[in-house]
Amino acid sequence: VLEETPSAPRAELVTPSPRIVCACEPVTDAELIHAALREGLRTLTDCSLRVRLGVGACQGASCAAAAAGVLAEALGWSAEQAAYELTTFLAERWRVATPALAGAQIAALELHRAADVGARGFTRGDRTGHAGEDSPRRGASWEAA
Amino acid sequence: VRVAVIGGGLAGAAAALELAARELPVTLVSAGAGATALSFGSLDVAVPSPEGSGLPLRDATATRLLSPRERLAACLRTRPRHPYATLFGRSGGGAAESAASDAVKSAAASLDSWLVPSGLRVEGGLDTARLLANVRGAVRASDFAFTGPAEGDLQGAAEVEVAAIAGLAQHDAHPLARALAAEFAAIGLPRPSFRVVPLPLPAGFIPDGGSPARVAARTDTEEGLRVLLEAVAGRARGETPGRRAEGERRLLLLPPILGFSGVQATLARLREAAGCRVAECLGAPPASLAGLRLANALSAALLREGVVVHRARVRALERTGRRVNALRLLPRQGSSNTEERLEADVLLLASGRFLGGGLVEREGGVHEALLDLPLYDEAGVRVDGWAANRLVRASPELPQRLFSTGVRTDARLRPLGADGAPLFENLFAAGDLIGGFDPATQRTGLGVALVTGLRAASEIARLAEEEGA
Repeated sequence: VLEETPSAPRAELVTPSPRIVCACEPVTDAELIHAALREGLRTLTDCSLRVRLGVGACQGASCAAAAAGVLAEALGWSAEQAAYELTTFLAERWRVATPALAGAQIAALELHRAADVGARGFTRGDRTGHAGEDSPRRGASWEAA
Repeated sequence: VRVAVIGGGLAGAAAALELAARELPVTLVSAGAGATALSFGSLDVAVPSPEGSGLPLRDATATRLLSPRERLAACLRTRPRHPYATLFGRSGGGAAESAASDAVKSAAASLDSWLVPSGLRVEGGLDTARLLANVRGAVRASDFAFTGPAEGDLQGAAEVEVAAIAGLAQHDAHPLARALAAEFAAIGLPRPSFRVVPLPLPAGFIPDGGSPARVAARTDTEEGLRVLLEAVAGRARGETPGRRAEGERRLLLLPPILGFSGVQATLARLREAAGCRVAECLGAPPASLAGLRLANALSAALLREGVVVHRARVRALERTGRRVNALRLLPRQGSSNTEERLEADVLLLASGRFLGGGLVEREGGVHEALLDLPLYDEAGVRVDGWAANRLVRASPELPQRLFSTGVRTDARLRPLGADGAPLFENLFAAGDLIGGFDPATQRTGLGVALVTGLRAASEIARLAEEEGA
């Protein structure tokens, strides 16, 4: 059972105007940040188990990248770790979607592939990466020199 | 000669516009702009991809980045079933390569002329790649791109300001800047300095939930644009003056929010307010402001050039022997007509793949929707009638036969039967419906649509001349 630490008021964790990250299974960035900082959520797959991120109609095609951005900010992921988390999560959604393919699901999978493989860059994913001292949580004036 | 085009994406629209320019009576039947409306701001004729099955970023000795022209040549040499190879010659060689690059250049110029009245330009060329950022912080070595993202070449910028906009969904400036810096390290190029710069937008400008599409709609209004201009002009106020790169050496990178129309004029005003270059990030499917702009600009061009557009789905085609004679259209929603019938002397199929509706799954197998044309994957294996799940592999970045599948054509873009001969006398195919390549990994997507659409139009004009004579 997870308990909230009383010393950190919850209000600090919640953005003034929550942004919608996942529209299929309404999830806001405030929920993700809260779950990451207070409930031990560490990966995008944790997000799908805890707040149903990416398990709706789009299977993560619309939301996974945005959620990776929110978590990268909250947990101080490096670019390599963010890339790793995103590809790992979308590969799992792919694995779940492919065994039974019929009708409109094929078009959805085609879109999923374009949103995942078609939009990737050249950075190799690495799960051990951390933004370290440059983490935006520690200083808002992060700058890549 | 009455020409019917099925498919309102880039391939069908470009073909219809070219046929209208050649003064052939053309009717476009479109249920929507398909995958074109989901495209994200670049045209992608031959763009490198990190996947093994994609086009290379570097030359064999890895000393420099390939130019788009060299990648187009590599595509001809190494992808024998790619539509470019079908059109321009499989063996590659100087003649094929120059034919391909000439076709690409003239196709881009034609498209540009159709889009200009809507304030959208096709920028770029085959000599040097532009390194453009997408919304996720990936760098794309694009050859051609549309106004908005096209101005965002990261090469030549000493300093890139990544705009941070509080409350905007699908945009986190710090991870974006970090990802871009990592991309330069991965590509192995000297990187500009990336700096996150908050845009001081007034409360209420970003709607609850932070929808980028709603922000784009606000930017379309004069008042909304004025607010954005003020924020851009005031973004560095209170900053300690330092040695900052100026003008062309500085780039302000915005998320895709610059409105659904008039983006050229919007950018010009933003540049003035910012005192430096300004560009949007490329989108990433499925969120696609750039795709909607392109679809809107194509619709406007079709209207302007006098192409008759039927907003309808095709239910079936009538055929006798080796000719297609007429289209049966599903009645439009709310219409009392039972079914419309459209006669045609020549038909162009530009119906796309699964997203466009050109390929469907029925009775447990994958089929071409209207004529059940034979389908082939990238290896040239015939796969129509196969169950879709037999054509996918366990991980998305592996080659996926399901998404390289389509019809096979000859060099005149006539769909071929199993015996390798054209199936119909008066049928042509263009765009993604043509198989033999995977748009997601090979990144030749809209380039194929444009080049094959225009080539199909000239083949149809040639056939019309022959039949008229």
